[in-house]
Amino acid sequence: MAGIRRILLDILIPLQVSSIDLATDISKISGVDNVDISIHEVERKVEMAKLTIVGDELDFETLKSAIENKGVSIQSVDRVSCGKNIID
Amino acid sequence: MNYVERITKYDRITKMSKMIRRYFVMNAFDGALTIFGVLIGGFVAKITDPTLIIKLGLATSIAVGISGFTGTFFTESAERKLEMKQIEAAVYRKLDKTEIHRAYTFASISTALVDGLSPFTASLFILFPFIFAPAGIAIENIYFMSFALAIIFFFLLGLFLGKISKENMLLTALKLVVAGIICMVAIILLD
Repeated sequence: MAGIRRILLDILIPLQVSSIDLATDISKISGVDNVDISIHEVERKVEMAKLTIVGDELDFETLKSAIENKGVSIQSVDRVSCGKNIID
Repeated sequence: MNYVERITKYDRITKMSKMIRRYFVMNAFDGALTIFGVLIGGFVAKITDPTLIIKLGLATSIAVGISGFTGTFFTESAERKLEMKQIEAAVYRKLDKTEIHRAYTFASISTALVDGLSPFTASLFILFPFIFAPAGIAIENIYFMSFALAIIFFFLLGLFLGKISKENMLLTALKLVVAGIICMVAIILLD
């Protein structure tokens, strides 16, 4: 498989958006096996978080549009893993 | 996602249910008290034509309904827009066509609808005896039926208010009834 197997994003989540809803909605996207959101800072209006998505043949554009549709802002792509095996 | 799930999600984003509940009680009471005042005025002025009372009552109900809808819609929309701008500044992006935007728009419209419909339906409820009274009933009795419905409505609204505020329901209900009685006494004193 040559597609994305794992991607780590640095995101800003408005406080109005529940991270549980966000994780649940992303997990419903085809090809997604695992979603992990880790909040590392809470500000007055947003939460700064790391979003890890693991799956098979992940389509970045689909993920990006689903994440942005929730009102979340993607700050950077911090890590991407492709190929047959994930390097830890 | 079905409609109920979507509304539940919008509520989690906007916390609109608390606001809708507050607006419902506030404006239903507003509408009921307004129509109660119109009816007492009609009684004191000795208006004996039920159709005249119905026309006056419906006109008042429509006015309070439209006033509730437009006032709330513009106020809520302005508040929501300001809040959206603050969120946009915090996430460094525009939020048009996102779930937050849809949730806020939905909240503004539904709050305004509740705000418009609650006084309107409350008014209609109190006018009920005038609209559906069979011919031959003395006009004074129709007035008294409407007054009784108004007092019952204030009481029920008070019970609901007491329930949501987790206070003494009976005491809250009596407070609203007293407010209605004060309105009645004030209008009668004007005569």
